Amino acid sequence: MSEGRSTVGVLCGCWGNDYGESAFVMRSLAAAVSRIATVSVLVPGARTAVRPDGAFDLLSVGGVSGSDRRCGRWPEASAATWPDTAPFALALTEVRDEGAIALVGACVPDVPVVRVLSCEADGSNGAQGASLSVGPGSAPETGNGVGLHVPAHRLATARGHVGIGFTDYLLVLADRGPGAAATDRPTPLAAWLAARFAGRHVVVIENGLATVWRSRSLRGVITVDTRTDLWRLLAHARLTVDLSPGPLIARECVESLLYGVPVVVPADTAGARLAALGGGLWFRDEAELLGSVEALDDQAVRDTLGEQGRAEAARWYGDPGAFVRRVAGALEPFGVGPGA
Amino acid sequence: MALEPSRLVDDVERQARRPPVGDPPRLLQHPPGVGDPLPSVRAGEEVTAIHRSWAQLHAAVPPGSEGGTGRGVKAAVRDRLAAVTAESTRSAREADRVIIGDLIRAVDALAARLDTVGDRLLALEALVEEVAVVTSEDLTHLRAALEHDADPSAPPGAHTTDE
Repeated sequence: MSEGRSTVGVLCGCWGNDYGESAFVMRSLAAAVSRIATVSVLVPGARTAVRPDGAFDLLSVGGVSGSDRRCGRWPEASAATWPDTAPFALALTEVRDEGAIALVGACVPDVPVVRVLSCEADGSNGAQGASLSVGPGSAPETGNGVGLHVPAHRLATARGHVGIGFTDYLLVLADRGPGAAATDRPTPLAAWLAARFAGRHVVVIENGLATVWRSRSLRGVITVDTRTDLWRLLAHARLTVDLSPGPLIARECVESLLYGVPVVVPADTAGARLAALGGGLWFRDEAELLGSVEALDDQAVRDTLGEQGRAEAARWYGDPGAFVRRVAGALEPFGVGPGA
Repeated sequence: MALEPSRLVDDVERQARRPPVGDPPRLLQHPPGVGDPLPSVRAGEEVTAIHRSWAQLHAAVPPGSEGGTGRGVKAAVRDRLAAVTAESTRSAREADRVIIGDLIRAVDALAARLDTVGDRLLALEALVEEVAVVTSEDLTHLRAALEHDADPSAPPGAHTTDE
């Protein structure tokens, strides 16, 4: 522990989860906070020796540990083993991680809890107290809009996915849950798109597979093994339809916009807030979904939205230095950071 | 159990007036598409080989045509023998030639017809694909509009069930 640095506790019930957005957001925030303070990461799980994980040591406090597909379960306060660390200047946890919030309140009631949420509107959902907004459209002037750093390799634009010999396809990120059984039938909304735009290539991604549809029928299946594969598919699409954007930042929408590819997303989601900044359209039903995609047939409209979206995505998610500065500014009132 | 036709007719009428809300569009099991053009049968090796052989056969020098003076008695006798034999088998050979010629022409006609059918198949494949695309796009557009009008406040997917 560095002398004179305050300690921030980061509590995350989904730290090892590969499917949700929570782990990605909390890991990124922990990394940013580590530039200005000492970070202790607390996770659910049987109290064992400290588990190293990249730059951090994971401190288990009891309860049931999570996995790559499932979040862990925090223990009751009476059963928790609070780690023997320096006192926390604050505890950072996601707004939906109610077990973590309750645990901090019970074990270290004097430590302020800073909730990580998508936008200010999330805070009205029963949550009280300080917060950090990572979602699109957060107002930096309120002090809690920090954005995030979302990496997207620029070389993905240089070469497409090796399994697809064409570009300018309609990319659909499907809305079937993780781990759902593989099927040769797309989800209902994806089927609407494949039927309505039968004359084009429609690439539907779910559960690590990309199915290619044309003429209302399946033309092929390729695997999407890595994030780089996904970036390549995003970078060469004409537009991205994300049927189930992530709840905090709509990460895949951000990545699409960083490549200048506009997005179409369901209304009232983090993705829709991102689209409203200028990078895409949103829909409430099947007809609006099809209409939105049709509206983006116009190359000029697509280019304009793509450029606007790229600028906004870069502003909020493309600059790691600015992200760290915003986090430092937001945590300064809690006595954390170089200026504290 | 007795059935009242008028009730059935009423049900049918009600159903007929309802927009086709419910399932998402069904997708095709057999993808329409235009395959690679079939190579010409007429220009293929098998047919051209027959023509080549036929031409070579006709170009062959008939026996006795090389006859000349001063070749000796044996050669003269052989030529005469060949001439006599040729005379006696001429009619049979001519009949064979006619049949072979007819066969070659028949093969030619079949090959030409196959090539025409191949071209038409290609055009039909293109037509089927175009019809599938155009009707799919138009009908899906209409269905979505109807469902939107039926319940504009419904969230996406509310009308749909996974098949």
